[in-house]
Order: sequence, then C-alpha cells, then structure tokens
Amino acid sequence: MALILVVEDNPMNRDVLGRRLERRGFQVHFAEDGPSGILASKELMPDLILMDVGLGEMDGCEATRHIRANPTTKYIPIIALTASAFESDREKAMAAGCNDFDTKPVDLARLLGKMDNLLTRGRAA
Amino acid sequence: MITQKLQTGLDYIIDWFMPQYLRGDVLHERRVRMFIISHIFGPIIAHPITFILSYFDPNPWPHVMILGTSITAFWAFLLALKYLPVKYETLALLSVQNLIFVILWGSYHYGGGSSPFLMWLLIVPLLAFFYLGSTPFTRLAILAEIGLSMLAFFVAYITGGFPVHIPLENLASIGILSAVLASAYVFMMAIYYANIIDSQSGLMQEVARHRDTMLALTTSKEEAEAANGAKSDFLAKMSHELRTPLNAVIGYSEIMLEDAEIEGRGEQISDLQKISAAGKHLLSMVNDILDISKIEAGKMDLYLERMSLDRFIDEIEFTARPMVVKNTNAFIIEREPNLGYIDADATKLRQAVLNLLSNASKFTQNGKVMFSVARVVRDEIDWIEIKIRDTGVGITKDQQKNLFSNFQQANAAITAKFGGTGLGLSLSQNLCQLMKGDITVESEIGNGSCFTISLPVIHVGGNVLERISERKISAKQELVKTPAPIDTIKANAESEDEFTADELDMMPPAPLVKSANSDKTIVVIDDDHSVLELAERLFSKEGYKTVLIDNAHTGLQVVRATKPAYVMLDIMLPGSDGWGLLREIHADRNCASVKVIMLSVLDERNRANRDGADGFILKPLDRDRVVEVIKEIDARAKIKVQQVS
Repeated sequence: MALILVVEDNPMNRDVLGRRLERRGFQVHFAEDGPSGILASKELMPDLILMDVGLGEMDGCEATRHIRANPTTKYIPIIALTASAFESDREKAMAAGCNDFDTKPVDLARLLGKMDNLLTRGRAA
Repeated sequence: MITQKLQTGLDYIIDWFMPQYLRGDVLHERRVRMFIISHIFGPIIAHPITFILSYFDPNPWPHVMILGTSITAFWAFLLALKYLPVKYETLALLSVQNLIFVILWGSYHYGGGSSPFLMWLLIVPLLAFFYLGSTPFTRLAILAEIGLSMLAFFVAYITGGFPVHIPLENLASIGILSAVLASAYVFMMAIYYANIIDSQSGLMQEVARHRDTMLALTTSKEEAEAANGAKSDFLAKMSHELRTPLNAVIGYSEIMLEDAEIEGRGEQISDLQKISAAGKHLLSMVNDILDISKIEAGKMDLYLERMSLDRFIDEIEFTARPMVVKNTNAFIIEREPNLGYIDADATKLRQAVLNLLSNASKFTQNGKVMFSVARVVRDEIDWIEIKIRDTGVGITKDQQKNLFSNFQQANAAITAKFGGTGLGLSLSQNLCQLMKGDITVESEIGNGSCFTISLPVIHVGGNVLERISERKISAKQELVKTPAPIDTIKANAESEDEFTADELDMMPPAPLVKSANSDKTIVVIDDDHSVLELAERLFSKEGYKTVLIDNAHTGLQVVRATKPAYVMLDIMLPGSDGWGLLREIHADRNCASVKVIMLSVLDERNRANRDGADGFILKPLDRDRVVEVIKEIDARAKIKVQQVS
C-alpha cells in the first residue's frame, strides 16, 4: 500500500483529496504547510508527495527544493498541484525539482495516472 | 510691409551664401548668419569713410587704396565661404584679422594713437565671439590676433612715428562720422543679439514643454505597465479563488456519488451527477474566461514544439471517440500519408481541435463527424489543414458572422439545449491565431458545418521576425540595464547586423538571445526542440548566453556571425550531418577560437576525437557531464595559452 504525503494548506482540499485517495487504497498523510511537509517527508519517507504550489509563507517550490536537497528524501517523487492559470507556474515547479504537475481542481483519473506512472517507476528502480 | 520684404530678401541672400555642410546645425547656422550679415553690411558702412578720406587727403595713394581694398575684401570672404573648401572657423579668424588690420591701418595713417578710428577696435572681440563662439581656443586665438596687431602698431609708432596725411584737428568731422557709423554698426548687432536671446528663450520654452510631455508619457507608460501587472495578478488570484471552491464542489459531489452508487441510492445518483456536471461546466467556463483574458492581456505564452501529426491524430482519436459516438455518430478519420511534423503548441492545438470536435458531436445526431488532416501549399508556404466536418444542424450565414465572438452561440435556445460556454470558438480561434494560423467556417442549414484550422507547418513569417526582434530588444535592454561589458553589447549589435531577414526566418521561434551575467555564448544546434529547451535551461542557469538553432545551415551562419565560446553540435541533423558542420567551422579561420562539443545518442567519442572536436557528450544531456566537459575544455585552453606565452 503506497504511502502518499499530501501537502496542502486548504482543509477542504485536504479532506476531498485525502478521502478520494484513501478510497482507492492509498495510505494518506497530511501536512499543512511547507516546513511540516519537509519534516513529514523525512520522518514518513512517503512513496510519493502531492505538493500544493500555492502554500503560505513557504511555497511548494521552496519546500520541494528543500526535500530535494536532503539526501534521504532526494528521490521521493513529487507531483505539484496548483490552481494557478499560468503555465509559467508549471515551469517553476518543474525547475524546483517536481517530477510532474497537475492543475486543481483535480481530475482524479488523470492524477491517478500520473501517480501510477511515478510509483511504478520508483518500484522498477 | 517694407521691412518684411527686406527681411525676406535678406534671408534669401543669407541662405544663398550659407554653405551646404553648415546647414541643419542650429548653433552653427546662427553664427554663420551673423558672419554673413556683418560681412554684407560692414563694407557698406565703412566705405563712406574711405571715400571721404580719399577726398580730403591731398596724397591718398597708396594707403587709402590699401584701406579700400581691405574693406572690400570682406565681401570676398562671403564668396570664399560659399565656394572655397576652407573651414568656416579659419575664414572667420582670417576675417577678424583683416578687420583688425583695416582699423589699425586707418588709425596709423590718420591720427595714430589719437585716431578717431581706433574706437572701432571695440567691435573686434564682439564680432569675433559672435562668429566663433567662446571656446578656450577661440579666446586664445582672438586675444593673440588683437595683441600681436597692437604690438605691431606700437612698434611702428616707436620706430618711425605716425605719418601725418591730414592734420589731426581736420579729422574732427570724419571722427564724428566714424563714431556715428560705429554706433550704428554696434546698434545693428545688438538688435540681432537681442533677437537671438528672445528666440532662445522661445526655444527653452519649447524644450521645457517637450520635457513635460516626455515626463507625462513616461508616467503613463509606467502606469499602463503597472495596470497590466495588476491585471495579471488579478487573473492569477481570480483563478485560484474560483478554483478552490470548485474543487470542493466537484470533489465532494463525486465522493457522494461513489457512496450513493455503492449503497444503491438511485434517486440521489442523478442529482449528484447534475451537481458534478455543473461543477465541471463552471470549471471549464472559468478556464475559458481565464484563457481569453490571458490572450487579451498578452500573457498567453506559446510553447512551440515539433510534433508528429500522426501521433497527434492518434491521440485526438483516442480522446474524442467516446464523445463523438455518444450521439450515435460515426467518427471518420482521414489522413494523408507522410504528414510529417508541425511546429505548434501541442496543448493549445489539442484544445482547439477537441473544442471543434465537441461542438460537432454535440450538434450532430445519428450522423457523421469527420476529422481530416492534410498538407497544402498556399502563398508558397506549407500549411496543415485540419478539417472538422459534421452532418449536423448547420449554421445560417447570419449566425456565422458572430460565431467567433465571445459569448455568442448561434442562438439562445441552443445554450439551453446543448450547454456550452459560448467562449469555445472564440478561444479556439484566438489560440490558432496565436500560432499564426486561423479557423474558418463553411456551413449551410441542414447540410452540416465544416470548420477548418490552418496552421503554418514551420513557424515562420513576418510575425516570427517581429517576435525575434522584440526579444532581441528586450535582451539588449537588459544588457544596458545591468552594467554589461561593452564588448558584449557590441557583439550583440554586430551579430544583429549580419543576419538577413531570411536567415532570421529560418531560426526557431524559441527564445533566441538571452542576456547573461557572462560574456560567454553557447550556440546549441540540434533539431530536437526538447534538447534545445533543456540546454537553454541548463546554460542560462550556469550564466551563459545561449543561442538555440534547429538546423545546420542557420547554425553555421550564426556561428560565423557570433563566434561563440562554445558550440554544442548534434551529429544527426536533417539534411546535413554534424561532422560536416564541424569541418566547416574548423575550416573558417575566424572561428579558430570556437570550441565544438559534439552531441549524440550513439557513443561516437572516438570519431569526435579523431575529427578534432573539443568534447563529446552522450545524450541525454546531463548537467554534471556538460559542466565537466566545458571545464575540461577551458582547462586545456589555459594550458595552451601558457605554452604559447
């Protein structure tokens, strides 16, 4: 059972995404902001992180850079999620080290496809 | 009336004497005008004295003759100004010297140190500075002319005294006349000078007005930029704020839908499906509105890539088939063989095509939806035409007029029946126009509709040129803003000069020139646009100026024009191989300093070595490897320099 860390500051978004993932058999943990996301990534060593880009003080890109800078969490796949309309945000997220990117509101089928991709790749390696 | 005529006549004469090379320079022109005026009127005012002297002097020969000739010589200066290739400044200094001579010669012969003509000396510096302006050189030259002439006058006096042609007491009346004429002369000059000051203050006012206008323009430009910035900030916020609650609507309704399905609550299922569908519809509207606002704000960026049309058609078929067959329509796909590639933004093209297909399937029942792709040549340019035809209800000519406007559907009843945002067509057309193409429509009521997307195969044409020059300008501005080394700017300017419009046309529309902290340029030549993108990201991070080229021909021209520090060269290029290009670069003596790194998916390290490449990188591009290779090359170059010195 894959362990997913959802870093998201909006409680409603956390709840919706979490419940839908749990229904599909994922084990889901949450972090409410960048620093606790970084901490959780170290302690839980999740199989995949879903990172909201538009977090508060420390945004998702910043948090991703921290996670990538730590040798133990360096290889955890990260999918950036953003409600922003600008494609430049996608580039920013990818430049920060995210493996993939999706927009919010989440199209669950598409997101599951992307997650599946990264999770199987992780297993193969 | 008369003065006006005189003024025009005078202006005409002045204009006639004004030499061509002095025209246009306001300051110079004014000085030369003064020179011409005083040279026209000077002799007219002075000659009466010559005549009177020759009348009163019992033996006027030869000194009055010399005086008369010297005074007449001022007119010769005018002709010299027009016809002789002598500098104006030289002429003016000679003329001043002649004036001093005339005054002192007259004084020497008539009255010596107490001569009534000596007072004319006062006009010398006045005129001289009018002619020449005050610079350290003119001050010294004029002072020297006056000083040396006075010295000569004094020496003439102590060696032989002053000759007496007419006794001093008889010169009184001539002296008075001389004083009157001298005053008249200075009077005239003073008026002229006053006029100049007046016109200058007018000029200053004009300058001040211009400065005000410029200030206002700058302010409003800044305001407009700020407003635009505010608009995109607003868009970003709006997008976020609207999507977050939608996330909840769509997400929770789907959770409940799943629950209802599991627990078999049939009546709730259809209600929840409606909520979910409404949420998704609202989301698509939000997305469309944001896209249109982005296009209007000029914030819609194109991400052009070379995409395979066959693969694109397969994808579209896969995505659109369920939507098309929903209304029991047949989905017919026609494609030409050898469609090849197109330079387009895949996401945006897909969005436009899917929108048209969605319309076609919405308005057609038990019919056919046809999707065909063909290559055509129009205006000597290769185009891809994507046609989406249906056998549906059709659109009247009247309705077609407003079809591509925002929030226009063929009629309100359609919105009620079929849904839709009324933005799709407008957005699709905007997207295609962004890619230098267009969407057109042909339709007849009852006979279905045909929408045609035409896109240029290669993203070329005047518009690309504009984009490139815009980018160049912005790159240059950045260079100017940061105190860049001068040679960087120069290199940039030179390379710009050497590209013809044709050559620019052939370049890929990817960002071509990026300013950088460093003056080192890397030219990357690869037909794979993803490699170019990757390379650009990599090198701009490292601080290099990156130029991206996607074909061998332009590549060579750009390398020759810019003489970059490094060239990264793909071996497999369409129409030419990288080895040939490597030879060409080596053969060009001007490119001796250019280091070439070969790039390939196959390990051709040995051949690269043998053919004299400076480095070899096995694809895929890896940052560490690239940095390492460049370091090696730099280290080798350093050793070479040390050996030479």
